Amino acid sequence: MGTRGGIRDVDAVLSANIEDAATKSAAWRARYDLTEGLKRWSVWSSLAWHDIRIRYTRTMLGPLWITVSMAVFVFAMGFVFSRILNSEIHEYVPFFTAGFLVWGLISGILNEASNTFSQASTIILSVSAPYSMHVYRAVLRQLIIFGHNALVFIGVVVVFGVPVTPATLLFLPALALICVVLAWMNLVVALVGCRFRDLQPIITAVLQLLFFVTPLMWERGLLADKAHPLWVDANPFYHLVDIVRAPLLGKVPSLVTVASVLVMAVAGWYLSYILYVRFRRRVPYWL
Amino acid sequence: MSHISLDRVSVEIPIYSGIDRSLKFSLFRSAAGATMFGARSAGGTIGRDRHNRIVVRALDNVTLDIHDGDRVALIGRNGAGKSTLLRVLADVMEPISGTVRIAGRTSTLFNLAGLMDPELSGHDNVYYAGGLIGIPRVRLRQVMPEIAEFAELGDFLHMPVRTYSDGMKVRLGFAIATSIEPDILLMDEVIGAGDAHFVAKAISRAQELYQRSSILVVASHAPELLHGLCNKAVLLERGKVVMTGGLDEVGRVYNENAWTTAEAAPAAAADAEKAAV
Repeated sequence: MGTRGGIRDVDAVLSANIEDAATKSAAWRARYDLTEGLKRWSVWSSLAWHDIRIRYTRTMLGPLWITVSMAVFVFAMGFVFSRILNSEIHEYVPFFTAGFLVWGLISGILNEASNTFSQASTIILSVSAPYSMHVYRAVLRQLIIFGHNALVFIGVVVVFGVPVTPATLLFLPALALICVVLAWMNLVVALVGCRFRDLQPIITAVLQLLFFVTPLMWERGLLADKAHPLWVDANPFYHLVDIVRAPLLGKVPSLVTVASVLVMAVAGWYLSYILYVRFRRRVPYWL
Repeated sequence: MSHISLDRVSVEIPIYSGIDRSLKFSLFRSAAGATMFGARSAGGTIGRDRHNRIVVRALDNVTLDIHDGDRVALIGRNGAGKSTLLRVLADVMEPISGTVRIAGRTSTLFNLAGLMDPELSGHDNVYYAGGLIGIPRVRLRQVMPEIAEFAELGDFLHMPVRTYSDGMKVRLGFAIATSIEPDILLMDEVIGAGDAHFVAKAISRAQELYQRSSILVVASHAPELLHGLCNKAVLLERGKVVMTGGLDEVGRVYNENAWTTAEAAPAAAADAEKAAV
């Protein structure tokens, strides 16, 4: 074997036990896909970074463009809307920035979700590898963008003196939790989106609407029917935003919000798993 | 011991693009005209599945056994099901019916040029495309000099891949994919755009590789590649296995029936073009 000695054990990593996989049930294969995909984090994390680098290839600022455009948008909108809504700019800008930061993550993931599998079609049709890798990659890619946007929020914290309290630290577990929710949403949209290509325009339209309906530019307390704003509380995206936004503003998120997001995480993954077991094998046929 | 066994495997690819109405007429015609070699059109059989969807039956009840030491050429016209069969063997597609049993670690050499990122340099693509097909980074670093030498790209190795010709991409892709050592190696039209010098080199490298792999399955229209690599052949026609046996024998039947006819010659040329992409 000469110089190639030791390669065989390395190869074991690539195509572990295909025979096992081929004779296993759809449920086993779906679980294997989801867990094995996670284990290959080094592949999808480098792919996610790669996506970001490629997007800003040959630009002067590189990924810092994300930060710059966010900064410009947030300060302009903050200035205008604090006037329109007659709010104190010192309160409005941090509120809007924090909300828009989280919304950017959510809408970024959902907007690109339906293309997750079709963008990876070359890979899916040439290599036997878990499809879930592409979902994790998409979520991480948006998290990296979130990280760049977060720099703007740090600036806002300094400039406008947002209180930093022990509750602020809660944003980390909250962020992790909404990523769990967003991962199943991405998976479901990716799965349905590669079969029904109409999903993409539908999602874009709905997200546009949600941006105004969800308390992002306006605070829940500003509503005329303060007592029971059911159309706010029943909006899952309100809770997804607020569980991260509240800690960012130095507050503890409400119990209802935390409970809602937890239910979304558990129930959502359960239902997505059932869907994935049923339709995972159809993915290469739909591409 | 590596082993591949397919039992009544079928693959039907549904077509969703609203061509339903325009197909009614031609469906009727192709159902009437489909005989083994008499079919006028290339491709699988177009039909309807039990949900009444239009489907292309890409593989039709394929039963196949491939043993240790077999080096199999898949031959057949465009759309006969060669690539689909390789996808089933690679576990990239699960068939709609039938069972697939594969013992051994499989590596695939499909469309490596397509996996590369045009903005990255050839050098970076070794890590990128190599990582995608599952080769660990450590291993890639180790074989980088070997890949560079085989691909003969010189300074172009550090240029973006979008500046490469198709042939250069093929060289690099082939070098990456053959830098590992699987039990079962599956290849699909890998050398299409390579020049004669490269084809000869690719054959000798693949020969070296199959001495270590125990099963090789190749789909190609390049006779010199098949003769350089294979000892057995499977002839596919409209998704069905028509014949299996020694390469020379099966090749002769194929040539007599399809290859040399006036109708098939342009198809072969079109295939060469397709492989170049």
